[in-house]
Amino acid sequence: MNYTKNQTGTSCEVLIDGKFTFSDHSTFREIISLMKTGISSISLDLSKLEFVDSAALGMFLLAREEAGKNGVTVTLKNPQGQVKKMFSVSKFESLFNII
Amino acid sequence: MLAKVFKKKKEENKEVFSSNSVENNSSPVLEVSKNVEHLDTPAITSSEADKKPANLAEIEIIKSWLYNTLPIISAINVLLEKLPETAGIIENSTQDLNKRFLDLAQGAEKQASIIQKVVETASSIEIQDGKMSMTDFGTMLSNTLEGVIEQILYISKMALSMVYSLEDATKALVDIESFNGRIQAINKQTNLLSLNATIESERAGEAGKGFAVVASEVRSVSKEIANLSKEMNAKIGLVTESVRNGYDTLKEVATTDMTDSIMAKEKIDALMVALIQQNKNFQQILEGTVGTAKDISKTISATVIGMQFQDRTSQYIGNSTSALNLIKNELENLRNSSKVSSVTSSDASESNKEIVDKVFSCFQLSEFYNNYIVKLGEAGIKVEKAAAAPKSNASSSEEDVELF
Repeated sequence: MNYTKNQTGTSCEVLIDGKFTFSDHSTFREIISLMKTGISSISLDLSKLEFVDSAALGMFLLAREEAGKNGVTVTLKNPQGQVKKMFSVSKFESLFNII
Repeated sequence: MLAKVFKKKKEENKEVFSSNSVENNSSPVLEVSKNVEHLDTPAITSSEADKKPANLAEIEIIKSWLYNTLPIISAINVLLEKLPETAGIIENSTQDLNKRFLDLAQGAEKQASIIQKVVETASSIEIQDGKMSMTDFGTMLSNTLEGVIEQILYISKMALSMVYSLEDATKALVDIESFNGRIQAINKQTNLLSLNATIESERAGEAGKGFAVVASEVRSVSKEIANLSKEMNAKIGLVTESVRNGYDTLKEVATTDMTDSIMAKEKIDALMVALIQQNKNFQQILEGTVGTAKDISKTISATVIGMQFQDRTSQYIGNSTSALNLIKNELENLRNSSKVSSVTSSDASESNKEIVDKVFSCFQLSEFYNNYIVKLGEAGIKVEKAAAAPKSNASSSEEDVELF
């Protein structure tokens, strides 16, 4: 998994691509730590994300928790294929703002 | 053959008639004829007939009337016997049909109730607590799976949270290790300083004696610090190893991919939907069958009601029979009042034969045909069984009935 960050003011956009599994926990921790940098909203662009495993879902939940602590709104954008299915089965739409 | 029979009959009649009529040929006085006795009619004495004169032609007409009506009465007798028999056949057959139709209706009703039970059974499943509909079962299964997925996500989140905490702990331990290294370096310097102090105190002689004591104390403190630091290092090594083991174990938990388990829900949900749909289709088909069975039962009941035509038929036949009886009686009365004595011999029986032949040609069924022969015999008209007698009998047995 790779990511590119683009921050404008207090809103941050992160484009994630590749496969997101347990082995990416250190990389994703960097995204989680963005929540503490004083931003007000973060948007994760998932249109290039190919695959998520159960650990990845857990990390999304940790990110949500951290965002909640810091008053940051999280938006998940354009999940595709397997990612979309995993979100749907895990009822992510009731936890996240997915567009 | 018939012709022969009638010729014989004619001769007999001639004989009978000649005995009386030939002698009284010249004076045609009407008498009550004794020879009409063989026509199965009681010879009655008519006082009026005695008085009234009749010409020969009239007598011939009366003779012809008497001879010709006799086989007709026999034919009516056949009908009078056969008509009630027909009514009886219809009544018996109708009763039998009624019974069979009622059995059919009951069978159809039973079938409907059995299918109804199948429908009820198919729509639910038996579990320990009782019955559960397929739809409820599907919802329950879906909810259970949802709960399982929720727990998988919860465990995954917690495991990742622990991973992050242990990562932090490991980092802290590395820091502590480096701090300890710095303590050891400082301690080495302290030890060196105390050694230098000892040397310097020796050089100072008596004046430096107290200083030498301090330097020695510093050295022993430094030694203690060195020992403590060593011990600490060993302990830090143990903690680091424990944390690393914990991290490895947690990694095992967190990397156990539950993706398939999560995706299984989608498959199971789809399977349940298909199963419930199939069950519904099954139920609809069965309900349709119940409807058909009920319709059959209704139709059969309506048919049984429709079979009441038999009552009417019986009434019609009864009416026809009494009318025929009346006709026969009236005919016989007319014949009785027409009987005259001293009728001249004639070939009146010729027309009698013709009528008999006509009636025979009417009675196509052998039962009627044979019965007519019997009735003719009872009336005194002897007939041998004709060669042209129909062989076919009325269809009465089940085997004769062809089903189309």
